[in-house]
Amino acid sequence: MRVFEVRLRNKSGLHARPASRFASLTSRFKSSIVLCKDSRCVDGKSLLKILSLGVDCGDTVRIMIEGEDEEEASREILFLLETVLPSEDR
Amino acid sequence: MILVRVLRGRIASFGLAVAPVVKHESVSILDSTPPDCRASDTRSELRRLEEALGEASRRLSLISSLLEPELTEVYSRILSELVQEAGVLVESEGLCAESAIRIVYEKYSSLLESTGSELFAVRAQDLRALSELILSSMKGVSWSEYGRLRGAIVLAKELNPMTMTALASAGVMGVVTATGGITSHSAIIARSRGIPYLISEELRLDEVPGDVIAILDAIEGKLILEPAPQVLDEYGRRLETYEKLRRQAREYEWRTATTIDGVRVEVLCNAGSLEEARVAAESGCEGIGLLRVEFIYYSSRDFPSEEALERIFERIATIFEGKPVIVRAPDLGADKPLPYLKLREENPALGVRGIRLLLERRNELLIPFLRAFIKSFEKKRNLMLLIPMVSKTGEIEEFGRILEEEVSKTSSRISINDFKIGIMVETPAAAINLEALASTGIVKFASIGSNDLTQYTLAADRNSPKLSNVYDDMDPAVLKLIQLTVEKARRLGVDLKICGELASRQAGVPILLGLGLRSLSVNPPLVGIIKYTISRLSYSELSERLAETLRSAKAGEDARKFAVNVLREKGVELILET
Repeated sequence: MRVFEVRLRNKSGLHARPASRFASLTSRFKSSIVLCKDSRCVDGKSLLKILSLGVDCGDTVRIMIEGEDEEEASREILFLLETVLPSEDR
Repeated sequence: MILVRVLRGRIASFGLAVAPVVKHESVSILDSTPPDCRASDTRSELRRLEEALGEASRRLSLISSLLEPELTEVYSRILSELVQEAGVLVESEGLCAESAIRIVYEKYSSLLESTGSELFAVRAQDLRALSELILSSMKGVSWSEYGRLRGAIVLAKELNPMTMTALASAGVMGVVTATGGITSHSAIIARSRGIPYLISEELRLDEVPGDVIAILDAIEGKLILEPAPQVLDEYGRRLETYEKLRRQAREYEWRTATTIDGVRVEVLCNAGSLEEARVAAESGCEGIGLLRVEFIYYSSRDFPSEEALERIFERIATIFEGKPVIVRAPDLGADKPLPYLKLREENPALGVRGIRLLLERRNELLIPFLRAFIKSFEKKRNLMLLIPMVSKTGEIEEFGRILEEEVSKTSSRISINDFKIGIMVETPAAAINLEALASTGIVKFASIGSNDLTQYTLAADRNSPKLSNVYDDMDPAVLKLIQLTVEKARRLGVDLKICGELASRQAGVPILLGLGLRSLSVNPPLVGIIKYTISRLSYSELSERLAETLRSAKAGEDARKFAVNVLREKGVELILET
């Protein structure tokens, strides 16, 4: 099980397009992926649930990944949130 | 019934249109869907859901070439998830397909709307549209006909993005809705298709007669119903000029603005909400020249918390990473009442407002604001602080003392000297006595608030219709005061900016450049036009010619004529009202 926190730095946080990228990415992995903001946690593979969290630029989220590909999943998710999104969605 | 002639609103997409109005009233399928119908044949309901998903996806793909590619993907995903969750309800509760969709919709809709930010509430609108798409795919309702809307200004209560796209393709001239947001997908689509779009809370469809001609002025933010013939003529001319200007201005949005003689002019933007800041970032603004934070105070029922303030400062600072974000301390007063701040004054404009109110109510207003600013500044060094309504050195000194105290309490990593603090020059005292105010040491820059400066210099209420021929920000008295401010700022080495409406008018540009200003903060949709205008002018030439004009100017008209002549000479199309 991997748990880590990320602060969203891209302009739109996890609204429509970035949220969709996130969901596309997470759906590829076998591990279960949970996304939390403050005390609310949702299935990190469902776009609707991600959107309903209301993650905005500057918010910190906690991600919990458990499964056979959890290491790869963590790496890729971190890369998306910390590098890819901020450089594309300024 | 009174026919309202002029409706005011927020500009969601810039532009002009003159056309007949057509009302678009959509029937809500969702509202007429029962939430509790049951079906005994679960398998058949699940099949209906699958078929509806197929049909909805097909319809979505029909307009996907008109939507941005990523949007289609988002919508497809949401459609499948809606159907998937509805399927779970069908199986577990024995609901019929329609009701299941409705229940799932309502669950997410209330979650989305409760997140507070306009950006997310707008996803609720998309969700509604998609839910209705599935429902209408189920009943076999045919896609609406939009042909009759070609060449018209469409009035509606609200418009979902798919309808907006369909309208754009149908060739509408403009759109006005009663509800919506400037960061909604509908607004984004309108902007990308160049369709003027106004959001006016004053719009009541049942009070507008059908088939009348209207002028949609999404430059000044109004809809004029059944305009008089002279007004129609004037706008007809403006429309032509506007088209020409628009083509030119578009190229300039993302460039740096440099005059013919190589003088770089900084073009920042004004913003009064988080959403406006986001829009500004997409409009070529080189930073935020004035962040009006009063919206934070108006959107809560009590004094906003430090955390709420901090969040907003940091978000906007991140959106404009590496670029200046000038935050004006709240300029509140008796003329804009707040439920938790009871103020009563005979003369609010001349009363306890701006820095005076901040100091008077320092514990509730100034200190929390400063603490939030300090914490944000630790992480975001592009934030700058602006003090409103300054007229006395004592105010700045007191402000500085309080800031210093809060800095030492809040942070060990920064000192007051790290801060970039400026003063608004919006009272004649601030302009005339700039040396004394700037000598307080903490002041590093200043920003001219031409609206209030005009009001106080001419002693005329800027909001009074009776004084519309007295209040004039091009009046020689005002311009001479600005000229004085520029000279003083130069001698003192104070970086001078301007953020009033004068900077957002094309005719203001030759005047302000002529007066020696090199930093303008404008309204986001005008960035391209203002930068284009700057690029056609010569700074040194303007300096000479304006000085000459001002020497003999008797009225605002003289400055106006000067500006219009210069622009004409340089071949700049003039669209914005002088």
